[in-house]
Amino acid sequence: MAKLLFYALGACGGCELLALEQELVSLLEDHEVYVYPLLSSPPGGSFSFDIALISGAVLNQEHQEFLRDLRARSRFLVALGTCATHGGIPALVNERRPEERFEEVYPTSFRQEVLKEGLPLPLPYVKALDELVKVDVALPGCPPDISYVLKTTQDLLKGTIPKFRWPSVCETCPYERTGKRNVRRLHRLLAGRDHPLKERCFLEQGILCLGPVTALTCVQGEPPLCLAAHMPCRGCGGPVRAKANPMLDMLNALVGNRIDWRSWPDRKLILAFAGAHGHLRPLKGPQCR
Amino acid sequence: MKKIEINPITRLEGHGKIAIFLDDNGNVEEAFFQVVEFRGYERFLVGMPMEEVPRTVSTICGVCRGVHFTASMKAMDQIFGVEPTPTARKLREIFFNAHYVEDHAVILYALGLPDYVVGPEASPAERNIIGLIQKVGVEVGREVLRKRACAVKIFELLGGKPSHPVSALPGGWSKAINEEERDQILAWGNELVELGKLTLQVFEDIVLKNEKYMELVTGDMYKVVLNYLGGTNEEGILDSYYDPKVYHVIDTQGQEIINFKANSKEYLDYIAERVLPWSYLKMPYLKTIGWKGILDGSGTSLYSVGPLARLNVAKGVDTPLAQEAYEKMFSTFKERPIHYVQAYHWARAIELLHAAEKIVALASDPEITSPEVRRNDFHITGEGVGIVEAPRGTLIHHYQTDENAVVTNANLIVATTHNKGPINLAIRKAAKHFIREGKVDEGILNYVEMAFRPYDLCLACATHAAGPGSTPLELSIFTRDGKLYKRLANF
Repeated sequence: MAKLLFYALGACGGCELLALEQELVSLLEDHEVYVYPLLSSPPGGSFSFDIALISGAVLNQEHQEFLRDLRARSRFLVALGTCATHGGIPALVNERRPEERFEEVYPTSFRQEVLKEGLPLPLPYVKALDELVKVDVALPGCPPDISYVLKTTQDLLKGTIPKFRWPSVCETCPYERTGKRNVRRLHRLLAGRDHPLKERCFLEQGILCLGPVTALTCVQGEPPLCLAAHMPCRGCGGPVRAKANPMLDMLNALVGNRIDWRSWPDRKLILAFAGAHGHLRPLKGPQCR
Repeated sequence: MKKIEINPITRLEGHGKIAIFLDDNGNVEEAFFQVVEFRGYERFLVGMPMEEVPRTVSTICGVCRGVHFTASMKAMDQIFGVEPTPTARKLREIFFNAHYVEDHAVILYALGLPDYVVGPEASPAERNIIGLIQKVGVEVGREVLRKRACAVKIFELLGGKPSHPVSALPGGWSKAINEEERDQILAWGNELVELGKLTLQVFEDIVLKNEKYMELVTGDMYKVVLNYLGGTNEEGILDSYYDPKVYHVIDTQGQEIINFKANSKEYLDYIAERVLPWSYLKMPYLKTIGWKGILDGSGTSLYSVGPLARLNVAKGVDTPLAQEAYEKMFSTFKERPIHYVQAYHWARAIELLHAAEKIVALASDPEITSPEVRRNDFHITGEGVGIVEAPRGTLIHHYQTDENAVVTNANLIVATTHNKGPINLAIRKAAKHFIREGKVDEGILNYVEMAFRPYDLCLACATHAAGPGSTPLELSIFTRDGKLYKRLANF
């Protein structure tokens, strides 16, 4: 009977909810599984794990220490979800200097008080797990389709490390691409004017869709979830090329379509799920976008 | 003075710790509930086109992901100056009710009921959903999970994803449904009504029929006397979590002392937030009464929100089975408002059934399959307030934008923030009751933890921060000069 741990650092807890899926409940029955702290407390005594599935980004000192500790206690460490693999939404704060983030929400004196009371201060920079420890399997997705989680756990239980290669979201997109590139500017996604869409590629209609640079991790072989709901991709599946900067790739894709990328009002959205690894950096002026 | 820390709190969503200070006799002098993570969504929403906000804020929490999505969507409607089409509104309502059912089910079965089913003094390793499934039987456990999954399927069918939903458009919904999909929603909805009935039955069999547990439910150690905030329709009936029309505050005696219009800036006239140096979570209070400190009882300016607050405030609910259960709860306690925090779990079970009944009613509406789910007659107003009754309580999203509907300012007040004061009080009360003369063991700590579990804390939401905790349960006792006196840990 193997010991498995689901653990969330700076995350929303959504990846841990996967453990409630019926496919994974059988794991709960066959192995010792801890889903902490959402569902169960960790075991007593000095414990170690065969597999630690860690979600969330590293936001503060405590996360950092605990991640290193868990690495030391675990045979295999899986970065579960896009926050763990690429920073996810938490890393959007990397666009601001830490003191700036803090002081807009709390009074200036608060920072001093926090230090005195021993609350962990945020790290200057929100990090993905592999910036701090060795990650055996990176499983991006928000959350990744359950089949990938199952395959990962099954392979690791046998002692082999699974290798994944995800296609881009465009691969199974149900919309038609005509190849006509007659849009020069991106415009906003609003009902009526652009919606309902003709069943045609969002980018060709001038609507930002991160499909070309995003890994298809939300489903396996089916139409991407957002596209099936008539909404463009926003990159939650993680970058299609794991080590690439999706901002550069996306701007290239836009230029390739002869679309003026400066027509989009909020460029950080392109890195909404991949702001770690130094991709999203503090802006200089407070109003600069 | 000794200091005990419970760090972090198990089985809640988000990261927090409790610090308990003992006097020289080992009795509890003070207890604080601290939130130790900070993220700052309000900051990075600035600069974002408003129509992108719902998808982004849904990631504040992976459990109650639909609530931030929905509150910001309602604010977005106002910013674009449109009301949703009737069908879009009903689809949003079904979506939101489905979210209620699956969220309340997780809270009850995974977080709240294990204390009762497995027993409050069982070891933490058993006192969880797996222990619960073993205790109620694998068949019943699987059936609950299967039925809950029906609610997630409705959520996904309408919202686009099982996790963070995507279908919000100003005044609309990206996805209309066909007859086949409606029939599917109805079939799932009927299963959810069964889940609601089953849940009330489980609560009755396990808690209400157990004398020892009823002592906990109706005991003074879990009684916190507060004001309550909740939304209803114009007649005072709870008929929609998605869109209440009027907000009411009742005092500790049940008298209405404040009411204000939903989805407007009026809330600012009544609610103020106090920053406390020992927590990342601010503490709101009623402005009209003024800050009185962290105290309960008559005259307090603290108020609580959530299932019990809603039912305390509402004159009734608008579906037959849930109304019956509502009446039963109040006749059992023989008081109104009910001030016993363990009753939050009961109220939650009633609401689960209510939301399920609403899904069936809404999906039966002939208009629900209309393709009219979008609008395009926008005029940008520059400001919007979306207020919903989230499973954990009143949730306020308030945005200002420039003339292009790009966010310039965001303010979020979430349910766990409203409940910060009440939670602190509940913990202090339970700590004083259960910790005497320095005697602390695992069982006692869980009784203290049981004081906050009914509030179903979502600290991820509360600091708009993130993430379930980061160290296993640890208890540190400090002597007066700050030296570590004793350390108990489960790792």
